[in-house]
Amino acid sequence: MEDTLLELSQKSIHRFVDCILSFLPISCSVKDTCNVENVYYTAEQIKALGAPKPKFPLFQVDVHINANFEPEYSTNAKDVQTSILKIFDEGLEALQNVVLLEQKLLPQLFKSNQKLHLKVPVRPRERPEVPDPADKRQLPDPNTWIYEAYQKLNVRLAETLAPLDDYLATLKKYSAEFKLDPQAIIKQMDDEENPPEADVLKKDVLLH
Amino acid sequence: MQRQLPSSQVPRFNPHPPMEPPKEKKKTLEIEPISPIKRRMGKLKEPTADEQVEFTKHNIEDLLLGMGVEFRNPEKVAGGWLPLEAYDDKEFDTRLPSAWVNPNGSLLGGPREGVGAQGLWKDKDGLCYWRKLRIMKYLPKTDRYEGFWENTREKVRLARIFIHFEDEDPKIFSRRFAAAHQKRKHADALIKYNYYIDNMPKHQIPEVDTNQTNRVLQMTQNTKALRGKSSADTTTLLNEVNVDFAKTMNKIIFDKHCSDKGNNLITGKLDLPPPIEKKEVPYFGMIRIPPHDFPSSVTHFILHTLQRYTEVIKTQQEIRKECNDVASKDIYNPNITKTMKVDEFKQIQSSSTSQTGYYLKETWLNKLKDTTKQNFEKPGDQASLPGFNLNVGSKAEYDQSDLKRFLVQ
Repeated sequence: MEDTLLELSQKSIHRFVDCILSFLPISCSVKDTCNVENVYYTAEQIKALGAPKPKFPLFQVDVHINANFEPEYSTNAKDVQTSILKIFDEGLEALQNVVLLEQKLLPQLFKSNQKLHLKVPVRPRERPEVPDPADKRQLPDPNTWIYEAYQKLNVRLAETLAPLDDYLATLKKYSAEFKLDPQAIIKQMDDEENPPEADVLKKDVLLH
Repeated sequence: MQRQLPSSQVPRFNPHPPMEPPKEKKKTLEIEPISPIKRRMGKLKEPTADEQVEFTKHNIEDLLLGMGVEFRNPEKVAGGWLPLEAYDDKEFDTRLPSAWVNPNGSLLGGPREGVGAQGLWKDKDGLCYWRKLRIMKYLPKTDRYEGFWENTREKVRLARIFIHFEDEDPKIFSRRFAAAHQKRKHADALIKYNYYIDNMPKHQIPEVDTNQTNRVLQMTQNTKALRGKSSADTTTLLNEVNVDFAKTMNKIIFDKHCSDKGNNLITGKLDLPPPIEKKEVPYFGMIRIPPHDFPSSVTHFILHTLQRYTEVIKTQQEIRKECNDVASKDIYNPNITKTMKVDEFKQIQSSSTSQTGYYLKETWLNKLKDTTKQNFEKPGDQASLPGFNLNVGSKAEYDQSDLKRFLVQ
């Protein structure tokens, strides 16, 4: 049963990490507000595939103006990273607390308030130490693969989300427009007693 | 070895430069301890310095030509149209394919500058020469090695049979190459041989007579599945039998003609593989095993196995099936088909995670419990098998029972 849980966790984690990584570009260069270049495939991969496969973005994040008239994302880049890593941890936590079959089958032999659980993979909080090959009593940490998968995801997400700040910086040139109060300007220009002629209005609209 | 170029042609780059003399290695005073049991299981046997010097003394081209292998002009060799790698006997290899490129099994791969080797290079005229190259990596999907020619730096992908590694014994490699060549010749001859036979006229060959046909039909239709189904149409099958019969007769005629009158009707001599020697028919229709203590072996086996009861085997099968079902599930949802907001993504993943968690803690566990109970308990809460009592009263009794061995295995 523990082998089954290990197999399930290995397959699921690798598939999840691969799935997220498949959406992350190899490189991203922000040239302008309307010109962002993402590279998803290397030249070798394109040659092997014949043509690059079309990609769609994983997340939709909006940009809006905050109270200080500055642009910001609806979801912070750091929050995106934290959310994905939290999902990673929650998946592993879902495997915990599976009661031993023995206890379920033979309740008369086990105390009902002391649950015995199956051993499941747990993510190490720090990099597991590599055992000394000379000391045969030391064994490698069986959860090293989880730590490596987590770190791989963490590093790649951090790399990919960094250009989001660069993109936000390209919007700084519109800071004057962000501070505009359209209602105040309309009110200032509006003259109820002398409304502008239709032709004048049309000319103004076409001019702008 | 070098090709004679017509004087009218402009002299061009010599594709086969003379081999450099092997550099003398500094002799060290280190003495390797003689310890045949020191080597760990699975560790590669690296060639010693002396062996490597010995390897460099042999020229692969000379070795191959000495064995009568014509590698220089493959198109003119019998069977040259067939891919040589298809006839490569990998039993000759002393290492796994990837171990040639990455001898230490390092996760970072092999040396950055690649592994030295010689590869069979084909020029524009289709002539082949052995040239030095550096192998960078092994491609398991295509079973090819990737690298580049040392002098032109041109990228190349070659099958194993066309690469002789520097660490490889040239004598073994030349035997491997010669064996592949010979096998390809045989394959070519067999293709031609069968082609001749397939194209011999069949209309003059008598068909299987009525008595034989009836005997065949009687024997084939008198099986459990076909008995009583006399309406089954056998015409097509009988036609196939007649075609096979005619082919076999033609084969006998062709063999007799070739042995009596030689190759006067065909284009050339066929280099067929030697006929397979028929094994001696055993006198007994069973395998003879040496005398042994059968009752004691059986008793020993029964005492140590849990699979002596049908119920145990059945339970194990059902538990295995349930476990396989769990292993095929997914904790997360990796099937993302559209762009979504972060909250929506979190919700999808959270739903998938909680579903799997619930399945493991409730459904899976209850299924395993029910399966075990159904097979190990009789109606009335009685144990159906000795040693598998689910109503065992004490922990000590349980610790000694087969049930514990079954549950904690």
